[in-house]
Amino acid sequence: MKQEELIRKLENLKTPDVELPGHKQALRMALLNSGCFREKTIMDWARILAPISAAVILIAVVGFFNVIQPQLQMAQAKAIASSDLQVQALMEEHKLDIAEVKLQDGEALVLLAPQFASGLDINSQSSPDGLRIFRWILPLFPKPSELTSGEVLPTSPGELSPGYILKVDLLEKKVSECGEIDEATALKDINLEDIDFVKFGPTEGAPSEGAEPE
Amino acid sequence: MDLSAEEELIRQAQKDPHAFAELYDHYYSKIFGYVLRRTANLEAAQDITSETFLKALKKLWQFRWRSVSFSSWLYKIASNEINQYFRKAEYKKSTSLEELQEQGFEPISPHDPESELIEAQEKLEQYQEFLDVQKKLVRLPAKYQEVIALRFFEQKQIKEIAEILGKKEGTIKSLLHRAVEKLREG
Repeated sequence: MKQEELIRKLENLKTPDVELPGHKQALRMALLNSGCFREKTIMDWARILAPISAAVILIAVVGFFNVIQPQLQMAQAKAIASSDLQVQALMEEHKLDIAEVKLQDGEALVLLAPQFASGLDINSQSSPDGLRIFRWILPLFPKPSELTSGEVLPTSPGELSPGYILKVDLLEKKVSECGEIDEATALKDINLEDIDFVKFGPTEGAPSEGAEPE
Repeated sequence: MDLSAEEELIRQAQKDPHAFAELYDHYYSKIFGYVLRRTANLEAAQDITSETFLKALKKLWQFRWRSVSFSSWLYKIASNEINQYFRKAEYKKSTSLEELQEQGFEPISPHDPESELIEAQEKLEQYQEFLDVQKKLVRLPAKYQEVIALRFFEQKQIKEIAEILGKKEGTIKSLLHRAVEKLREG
């Protein structure tokens, strides 16, 4: 038989159209009474809740790493700096307060600024007088780089410093370095490479929980 | 059935048994007929049809009206079940009407299954010419059986066959050509 003939035969083939009404009805009832509709309701809920849950988890994770964790680390850095005896002495003698905390490259930078400026926005152009005072008194203070090892940062009571930057090691939970800044300004405007940092570390005779510059 | 009406019905059928029943009533005969013409076996046709609709019901929530129509989707499930039936000496059903009955479900039907089956068998045997072709067809690989059955037994267009089998129209045409050739040689 040629292919064309076979195709013609197939096209004209009478095919059986047999039905089993009993099977149709029994299957219909079985399907409608099966647990599939209840299961599907659960699946529907799962389908709705899955993306919502994923979004909530994502927001929580992103929120934690971008908002909550930095805030916690900044609070921790502030607490570490405040509890350091050397820093406490520095703050008391120069009448300094913690003005700003910033996280950078895995460590925290803590800016110590004069107390009377702590209520001011040092970035604000509306307080030029305060900034002028800091710049004027700047040469009165020795730089930490001029200190010899183990020496306590020398200050005269009543003298004002434009401020210091502390590097806080969050892993070891200690103030690792301290550097004096030339003028009172915000952390973002300070070039850290221009600052001579002195290492903070335990010195002989110093209280065990405190830290003193080398 | 109008396509948009069917789309709405499918959406409803995911939750509403009555909507599913409407779909079932519309497609049962087509699917049962297709399976019977592929297998020429009434018992197998019952099992495979049951399995097809049960799978459709279970997976209906996954069905999206995108590349395939609901009809093609059902034919695709049925085709997979038929191929499984031919692959295995004994067709294993994951869940079927019998299993549902074992779970305690007793369908009440005014029809006597035994006499209905005998009657249907007698009717089927009247189509001797078809049965001869079918006997030769089942010796061919499944891919050739599918295209011949869908094209000549179910009178489907090439586009629809491509949709059911998930292949390109060109592939279906060449498959069909080779299938007819193989059937002629057989």
